[in-house]
Amino acid sequence: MYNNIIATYAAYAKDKSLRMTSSSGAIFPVLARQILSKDGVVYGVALSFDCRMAEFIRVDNLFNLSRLCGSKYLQAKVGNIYQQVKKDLEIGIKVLFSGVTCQINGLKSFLKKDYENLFCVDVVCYGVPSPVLWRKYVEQAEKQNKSRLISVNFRCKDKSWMNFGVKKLYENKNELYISKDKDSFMLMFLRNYCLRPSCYKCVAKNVKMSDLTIADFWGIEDIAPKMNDDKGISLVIIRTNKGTRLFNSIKNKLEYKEVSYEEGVRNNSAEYKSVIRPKERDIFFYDMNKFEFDILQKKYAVPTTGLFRGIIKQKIKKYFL
Amino acid sequence: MEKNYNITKKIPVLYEHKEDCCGCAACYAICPCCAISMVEDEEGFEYPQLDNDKCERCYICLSSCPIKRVSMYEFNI
Repeated sequence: MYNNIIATYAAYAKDKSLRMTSSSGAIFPVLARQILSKDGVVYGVALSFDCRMAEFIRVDNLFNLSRLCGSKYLQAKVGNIYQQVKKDLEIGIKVLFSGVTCQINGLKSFLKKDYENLFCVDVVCYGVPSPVLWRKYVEQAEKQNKSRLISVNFRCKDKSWMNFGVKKLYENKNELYISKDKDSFMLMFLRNYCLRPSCYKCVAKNVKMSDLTIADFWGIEDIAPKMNDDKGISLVIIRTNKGTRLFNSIKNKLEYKEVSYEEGVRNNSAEYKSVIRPKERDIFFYDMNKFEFDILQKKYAVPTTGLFRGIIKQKIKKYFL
Repeated sequence: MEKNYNITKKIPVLYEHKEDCCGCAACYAICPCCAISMVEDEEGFEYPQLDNDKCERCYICLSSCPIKRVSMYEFNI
């Protein structure tokens, strides 16, 4: 294990409305506002306007910051963002760069030197799902609703943070909320069928080069039950002195409690461990490139409660066809 | 135009197996010859693709790969 750990916290933003716009405890927007208030810039991941892909963007004002908030369950296209970061760093302005761990490591490897004005925050990553699958999901959703998607909230916590759902907004003003246990994309993702090959043996988890790591504080109900209001609590892991300084500069905007690293990751193994490649992965991708989304859905995204029903249906079909 | 490098030098292997590439694009960003592009495979994941004609065999791409550096135990930034 190469990872440095200075301190671990359970934390959330005091600002209630800000907290509701983020997936967990809104630590990222508080950090980002702090950097912007010092005339810095913030890099992070936004969903493209057509909702078909995630991409890195540079933000230098509060208005655009909202595009970076909320998890995107997609691997963002890096494009030429590292070069742009380097330009900002060379000018000397403060830069906050956020992404998944392997992208932070990618940026640092590209830069090849440490910059005092660069602050890196990585989000704990479960693995990245197939962009082709995502596009198929979006196309099917648009076809069913006969309207274009204009926004997707992968981590809608209007009802509950712990039992979150996916909320989609269409051009025709239709709004659709599906719980994570029923949404077909989330089911295929969380069953690990559709992840990038390298994610099943993620190297970046062992070598985190960020200053801070943020994630959901899953299991907060056991570690600090008084803090849990089901509106989102973040796990914050401080890895460097620069990370300590940055976290200290926003402490007055947070409710927080120091915990041990082990407590912090007890229910979040994605922080240190890759998921196992399921034996169905190869056949899943074979099917994905061959069939329409609704067929994939029937085969790979039957909600657990309906699984038994699904198996019976399949058997009946097999018997009669 | 004559190129000022030894084309007998081996073309760098950016990754051997797909499992060895996380798609961070550090090699793409650092390549001084713009010889690397990020291209989606049939699963939609981006992988670096090297244009052998543009590549000047400087191997900076290999030294910028965070996965290769981890496996070589020289991750000391």
